[in-house]
Amino acid sequence: MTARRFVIATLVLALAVAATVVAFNAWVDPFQHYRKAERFPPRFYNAWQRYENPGLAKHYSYDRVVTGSSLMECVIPEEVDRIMGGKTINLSISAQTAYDAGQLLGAALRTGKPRHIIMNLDYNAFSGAPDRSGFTEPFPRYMYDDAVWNDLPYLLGVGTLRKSLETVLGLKWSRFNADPRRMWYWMDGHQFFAAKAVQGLNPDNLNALFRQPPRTLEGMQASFEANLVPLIEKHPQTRFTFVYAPYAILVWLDFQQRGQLEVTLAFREWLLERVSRYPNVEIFDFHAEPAIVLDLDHFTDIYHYSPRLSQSIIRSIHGGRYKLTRESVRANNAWLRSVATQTTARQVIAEALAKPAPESPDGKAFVPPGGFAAPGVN
Amino acid sequence: MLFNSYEFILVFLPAVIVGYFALARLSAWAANAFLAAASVAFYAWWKLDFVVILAASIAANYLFGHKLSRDAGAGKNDRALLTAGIVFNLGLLGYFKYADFFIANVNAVTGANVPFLRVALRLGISFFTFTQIAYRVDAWKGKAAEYSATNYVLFVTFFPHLLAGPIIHHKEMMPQFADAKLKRVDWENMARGLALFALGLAKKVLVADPLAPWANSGFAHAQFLSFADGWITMLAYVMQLVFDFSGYTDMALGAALMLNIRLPVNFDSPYRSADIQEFWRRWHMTLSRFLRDYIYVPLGGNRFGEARMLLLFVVTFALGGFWHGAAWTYVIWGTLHGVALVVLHFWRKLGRPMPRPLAILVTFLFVSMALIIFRAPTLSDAMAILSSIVGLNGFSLAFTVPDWNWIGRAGVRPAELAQGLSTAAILVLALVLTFTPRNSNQVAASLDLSLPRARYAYGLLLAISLVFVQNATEFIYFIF
Repeated sequence: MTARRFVIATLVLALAVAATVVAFNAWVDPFQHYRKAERFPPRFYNAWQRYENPGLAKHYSYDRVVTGSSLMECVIPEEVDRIMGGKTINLSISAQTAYDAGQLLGAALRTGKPRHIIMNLDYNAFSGAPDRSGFTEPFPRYMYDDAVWNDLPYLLGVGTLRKSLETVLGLKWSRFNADPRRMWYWMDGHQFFAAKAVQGLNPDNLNALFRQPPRTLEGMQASFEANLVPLIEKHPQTRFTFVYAPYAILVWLDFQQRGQLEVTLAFREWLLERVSRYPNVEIFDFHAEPAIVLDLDHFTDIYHYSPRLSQSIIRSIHGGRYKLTRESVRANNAWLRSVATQTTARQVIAEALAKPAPESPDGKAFVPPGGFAAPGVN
Repeated sequence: MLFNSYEFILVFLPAVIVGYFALARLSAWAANAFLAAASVAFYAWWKLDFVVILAASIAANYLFGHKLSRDAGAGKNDRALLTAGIVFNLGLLGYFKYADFFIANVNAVTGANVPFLRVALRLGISFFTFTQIAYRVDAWKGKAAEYSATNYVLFVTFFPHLLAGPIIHHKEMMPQFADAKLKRVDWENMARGLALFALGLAKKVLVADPLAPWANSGFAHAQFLSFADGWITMLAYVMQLVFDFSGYTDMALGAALMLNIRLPVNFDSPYRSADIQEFWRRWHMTLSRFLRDYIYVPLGGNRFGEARMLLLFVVTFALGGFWHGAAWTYVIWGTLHGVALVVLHFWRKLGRPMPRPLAILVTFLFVSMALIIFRAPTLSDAMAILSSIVGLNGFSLAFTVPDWNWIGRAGVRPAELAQGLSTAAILVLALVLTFTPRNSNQVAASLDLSLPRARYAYGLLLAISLVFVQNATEFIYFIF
């Protein structure tokens, strides 16, 4: 009798506490999974984008999605709308992989809202297995479907509970943005100039600071096929704009150092060929624009460029500039190969460190040679 | 399905317990068949095609084991059939676990370019293979005979032990599956099983998992660790490992006990061992038993003189290391333990025993440093970490790894600080718990069920653990 009472009492208490946690988390709903934040001011937790973005995709109104890695987090939707029209939402994810993007875009496209996707293509996003997520913790698949029955990890989980308590108690322990217009923006306080961009780099091992994994062409192709092709084919009415957002020249020198240059260039050619059969897909390539790639004053590190350049990229895309074609991909690849093989990291870093400090630390303005619009585009 | 997942804790386990005892009222065979089917479903949850290999392994071992035990009963010992059976099992294990390792080594030595097979490792294959090798040997010796296919399937697949042990003996399980008295709910077993399961879950999600980021981060920065970083990395990993694996085992034993099945104990506070022999009597005890009974003793044990015995120490443990995985780091780790046994043998001959606290400290340090080799992705990383630990890179107390470099840094965000402090506190708690006199088996077995505070404590422990289950991570030993 005593043992039976122990079992029943233990289970009842455990389930009662668990049910209370579930009810509390459902009521606060800190990741806006069930509704747009209403009871409390919204909080956009950069470290929890994989959890929060699916809810945003469901409950916010938009017809254009901007997504990608941290390179795209600082694209401001209002600026995109001003240039391109429509209503944009930024659903970027730090260290986004193709798998992360595929899952997120799948959830967004299921809502029927997006007519246009703008996504940056980071080569590292295609490294590893096709189902590799950018974070080591298990990917929260249950946040990406419409079922409620499998939401228990969200409703009962300690991560949610922490955020619920912080929200209700008004605590600001975690890092978050509160402005729905700049959900994932992180560039406040960052400076963009050459000496800053090369800070901490080891010229003999450029990857030491970033620890990017190696890639194979087969692996990258498999990842693209598994994660993005199904979405492109299933949604022919949606325009997919893929963007090779610019890197500083040192990224290409890093590729060269690690034997990753040729696989990257081969992927670029393959991808263009692969998507050429889809009329709803276009690729824009900023990797071979010397005025950006060779000018480190646009960057805060070798990957991340200024918000001013970010705006110029959107304007260029809108104007049809830098659209990749069979001819341009070969020419751009040839230029990248020559720069990556004929320049040394030591030389680039020395020049960057010798450059005078900029008048404005916000990065330089950028206007493409010949203006933002391609000939014939208004 | 993971033990530490909501689907297991809230759906699978309760459904199996209810279904098993309900069916047992109708028929003992039906209850066993249900348990076997549930166990296969538990395994198939990961990947349906994994079941094919499991089924093939079970079918072959059952049929040949059957013949071996019949022959043994008739006074015949068919050594060829036994050998064929062992070769079959090791072949299966070799193909699914070691093929690419052998290819890589052949390529490295000969300069050949044999393509890799890239065969996916089948979960639990090391465990269910060893379980069945033991059955075959016992059948050949006439110590085990199984005529019911259902019971044999249940013996191999019984979900609490299928994926990561304990490695069980036929003779300790079959009488329990056959005993009609054990087919009725026993609330005493249910209560103590629940308590042990709750303790195991708490060890996994409240101690091992929170330490994982520190251990992982330390190993990821292996080449850049300071003296202080090296020690934090080592302590975080050895605590993560013991709480992860013993937590899994507690959950396995607890789940089985709720079904009135007693699995063999696998851990007995191993870090409190005063020498390496005692360590292996307390750590992964069923693997030690297997290595002793099916490798060390058949190869001669101590029957052919001291030199052969000492050589067998090293060989047995090197093979034990290799059982863990297809990498030289495991072999080296195992070999080190064998060598340590040899050293212990000569030390004992000197007749100068160490004071027990000192002996425990020396053993713990040896085990911990050897585990660096066990965990490190490469030998070079292992050597780098060990160098930092013994001060070959200096004795800097700087904290450089991102996960704990907040220590002593100004301007740390509260969330980062809270996270860091909680992990540090868990590491200290783990060290304290490791060296406390009673382990979870003893706590659950001696629990006074009549105390109201016991119900509150275990109810809350279970609830808190459920909240921390959110990001269920696999148990470390699942990869072995």
